Amino acid sequence: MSAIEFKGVSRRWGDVTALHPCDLRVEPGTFAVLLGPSGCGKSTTLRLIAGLDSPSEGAIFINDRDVTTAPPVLRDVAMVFQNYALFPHLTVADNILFGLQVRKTPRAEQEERLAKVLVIVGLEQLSARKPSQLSGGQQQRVALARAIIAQKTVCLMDEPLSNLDAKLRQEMRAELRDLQQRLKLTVVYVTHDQTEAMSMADQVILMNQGRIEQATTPRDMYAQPQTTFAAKFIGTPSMSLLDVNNPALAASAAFAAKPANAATLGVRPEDISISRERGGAPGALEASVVSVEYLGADSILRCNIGDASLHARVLGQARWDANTPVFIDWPVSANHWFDANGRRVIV
Amino acid sequence: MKRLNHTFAKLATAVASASLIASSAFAQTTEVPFYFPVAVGGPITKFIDQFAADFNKENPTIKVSPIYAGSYQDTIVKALTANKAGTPPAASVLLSTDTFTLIDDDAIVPIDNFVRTDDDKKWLNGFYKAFMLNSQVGGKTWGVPFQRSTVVLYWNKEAFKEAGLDPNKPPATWAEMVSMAQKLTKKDASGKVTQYGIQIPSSGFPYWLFQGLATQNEVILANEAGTQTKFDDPKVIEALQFWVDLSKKHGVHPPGIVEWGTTPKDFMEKKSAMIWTTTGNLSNIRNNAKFEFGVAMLPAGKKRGSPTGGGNFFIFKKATLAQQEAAFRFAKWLTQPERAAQWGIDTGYVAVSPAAFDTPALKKYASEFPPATVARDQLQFAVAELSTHDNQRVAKAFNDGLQAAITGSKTAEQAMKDAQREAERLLRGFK
Amino acid sequence: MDPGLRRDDAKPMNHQRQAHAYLMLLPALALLVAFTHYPAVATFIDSFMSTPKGSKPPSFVGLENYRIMVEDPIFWQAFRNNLWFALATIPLSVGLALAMALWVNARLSGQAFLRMAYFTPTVLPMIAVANIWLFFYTPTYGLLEQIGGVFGLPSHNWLGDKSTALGAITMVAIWKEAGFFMIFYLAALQGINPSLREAAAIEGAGRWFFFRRVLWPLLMPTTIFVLVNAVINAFRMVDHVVVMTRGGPDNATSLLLFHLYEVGFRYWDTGYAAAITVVLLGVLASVALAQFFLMDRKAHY
Repeated sequence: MSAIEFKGVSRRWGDVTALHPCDLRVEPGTFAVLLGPSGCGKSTTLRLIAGLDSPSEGAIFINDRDVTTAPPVLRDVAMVFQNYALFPHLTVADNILFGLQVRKTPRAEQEERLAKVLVIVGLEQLSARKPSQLSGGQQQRVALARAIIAQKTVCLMDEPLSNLDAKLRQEMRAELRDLQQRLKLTVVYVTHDQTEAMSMADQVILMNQGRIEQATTPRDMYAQPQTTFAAKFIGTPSMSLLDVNNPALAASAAFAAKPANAATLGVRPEDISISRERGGAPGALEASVVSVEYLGADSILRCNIGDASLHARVLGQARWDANTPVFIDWPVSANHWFDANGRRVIV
Repeated sequence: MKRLNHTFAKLATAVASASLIASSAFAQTTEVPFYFPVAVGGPITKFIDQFAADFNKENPTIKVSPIYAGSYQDTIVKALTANKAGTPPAASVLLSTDTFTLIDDDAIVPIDNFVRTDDDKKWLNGFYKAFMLNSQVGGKTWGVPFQRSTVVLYWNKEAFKEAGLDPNKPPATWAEMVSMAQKLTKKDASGKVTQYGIQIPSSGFPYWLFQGLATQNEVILANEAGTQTKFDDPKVIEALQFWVDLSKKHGVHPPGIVEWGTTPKDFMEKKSAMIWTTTGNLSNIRNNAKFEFGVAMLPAGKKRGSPTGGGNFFIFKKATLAQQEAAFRFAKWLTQPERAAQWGIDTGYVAVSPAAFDTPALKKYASEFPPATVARDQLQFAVAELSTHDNQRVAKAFNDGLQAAITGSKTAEQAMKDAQREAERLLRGFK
Repeated sequence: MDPGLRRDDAKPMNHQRQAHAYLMLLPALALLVAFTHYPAVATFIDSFMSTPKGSKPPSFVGLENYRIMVEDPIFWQAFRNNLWFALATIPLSVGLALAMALWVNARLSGQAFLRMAYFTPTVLPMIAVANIWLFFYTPTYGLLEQIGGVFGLPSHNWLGDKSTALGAITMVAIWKEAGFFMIFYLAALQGINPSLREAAAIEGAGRWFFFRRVLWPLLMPTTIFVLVNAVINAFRMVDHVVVMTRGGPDNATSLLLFHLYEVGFRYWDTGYAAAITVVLLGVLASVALAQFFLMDRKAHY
């Protein structure tokens, strides 16, 4: 059983394709993140799940039920909007109870559920306020409460933290994840922030130009990016991609293992070791430090090897200056090979 | 006291008076601000401007500046508010029926003040008597007839032919009008009338058209002093009943209030085979009717009859003596036979003097277009347009009564009795 | 800086600033006083004075003009007509405006055209509108007649019949007003966050529930604004009466302002006209105030 499943779902508006036909599965009780740059189709995907939009082709299942043509209310989904979509004229309590009032839930039950939810989101004292009297974080909690109180199995969130400041965002990440675990919700979460995705998700669904690039666990996504896009998108700084035909790189020991169809070599910054002398690494490449970004615990160096450029992560204590000639090396196991189409070459 | 006078009028006059103050700054030439209304179609303003330009050229010491002031109603509002504010025009064309209102407001001076020479006297006696009826009160002449009209009957010759009537013989009596109208009224299969036999408009100022009927029934609606009306006279009620019956009894006239403005169009659209309307519509109908039509005197009841209508030239009291004299000269100049004739040809108004009809220009025009003389021929039967003190209010009471009878909300008798009672109430202060 | 010093400093600054502010306000204030306040007060005073006749100056007559009003059957007829006119035009034009705005707002394509189509009556001068409708209502060959003819309906003289004239006049006003008010509603609707509708859809709220619970309260400020305008317009519109019926037949379509015009500028009874003006102003002011106080509490801004 899966909580959400797409079978060949696509969405087009005339000549514009927002989502190419795709398959997708989200397991019950998991936290799935739709990740990608703006315009990649992640919001469209979310709206298709919610029923705010309908697919051009394909079928959508929620809890194994075909809901392709069902209206939102019959899909067992709740939703948190990017701008919260709070009703400005209603109090916090009325905003949260909106759905229950629509469904004419008995008064006593409404009160009971409201009280519980207010505790969960920590808004007990503010239930009589209007949204305009709340801070951004508090508004966010109201939106969350409105989604929780519905007691739907699936909760959809459209960039819910993007309007908060950095510190609050970090706190809320942990809180959201915790809440999802406690309530055993299936969450589909849209974001363009890969850190957010990696830190919260059970499953990251990476999208690009209306296609799903890769859908897997954060660890696997990081360790085994299936495309150069995934390789570039995940990680800060991202994986350095080098052209295998660049003569400046030919001397590298890493190239010894080059598969025949490989066109690009990817190396993560933290896999690179760097030293002032060639030392014991005969395959090390001569390079020079172009710039240094000091981050405290570590520093990011940008190095040039001939006309090729890559990033290296080094300990923060070590002092490196620009224009220093260095030697660069990495283990063969750190190689990520991609073919001419940008797909991972399995070694 | 003056302040109170002013407050009510101030806003409306701001624009008008500003132009007057500006223009009276030149001392050598006498400025004559002259308000005029446009009540019928055609390029009236162009003709007036041309007249003024020609007159100014002949009289270098006088500068007449014509000011177009809207409809008759707009013009009197502007003229009287300006007068109350102390800056009236030197002269204005206003409805002849407003004479009493203007006298009561002490706004105008008699024309006789300026008539000194034999030539002046000859000129003043040269107008059609019918037009002077509304211009003279208490033995004095208060206005010079200028753009005057009368009610005539237009008939559709084609429709007459279709109905088996002689297309060249309009109704001469009420009975003929009813019987012809019955033949001219056409209905479609469902019984809906597609063409009425006769139409007499009753919106706005029904009293004017009704005056035709009343006069034909040998009754005059008000005394010359403008202090007594006879709305409840049995002959008035009888005439009104005849009008009401055209629709109610004979079914040859559209029911309810008939709009004055669309009546010429109704005629041109063949929705009505005969209409009563002003001679001022002659050019309009001549230019737009797609069938042959005729113009006739109104039919006779006990006798023939029609009211006159239209505007007189008035001279304002608060103007300087020099302005008044200049305005008088302009009025006299305007109504010389050749000019009166040309004015009549251009606009469709009735030329105001027999001498104008003797000019070669008008003779030629009349021979080409005989309807042009019908209005003149009818003048011998014409009466003064209803005019009393507090004229607008009295006319309004009368109009309300006429409309009440026509729409059937009151009987003719009841409506006229109510109108008379109201008129007596309004006029009791003037006896 | 020493706080005491600052306070001392601030005082002359403030005076200067105030003088400045008053100077800036002066032109607007002068215009208001000259063209609004002074005439209003003068009209109030005039309403207790007799109408000057010729060289006879006005004199104080107390409540005489108001007594004339109470005894004037046309005033009462105009009053009743105006009440009827207001009670019909206000809810119908506002309701129609809201309905049209909701309808247009829901449609993305062709919106500009629709908006223009509905707004046209508003940009047309009332005189032109009245002339168009004059043609609609014309017996025998008018538009209504032609449409009615298709369905075999009998001919009717809409403006010439006492029982239908006021209704016909009212229709024109509704048609003209609705388009104008729609623009305000449409602007307000476009200002409402579209995800509110989606949030409500997720919760399963039907159209009516969403309208009643969300849209209507959010549109309340617009509704108040529109209502105040509608009430004022109901007592202010007179052009179409002048063009179409001149208050006839037999005063069936006479409205207060039209009666006021006739008394003031046809009969030149300025004293009585001033009294009617005072009553009209009183009615309008109290209605507007009542609306603001009663509905302000319900409105969410």
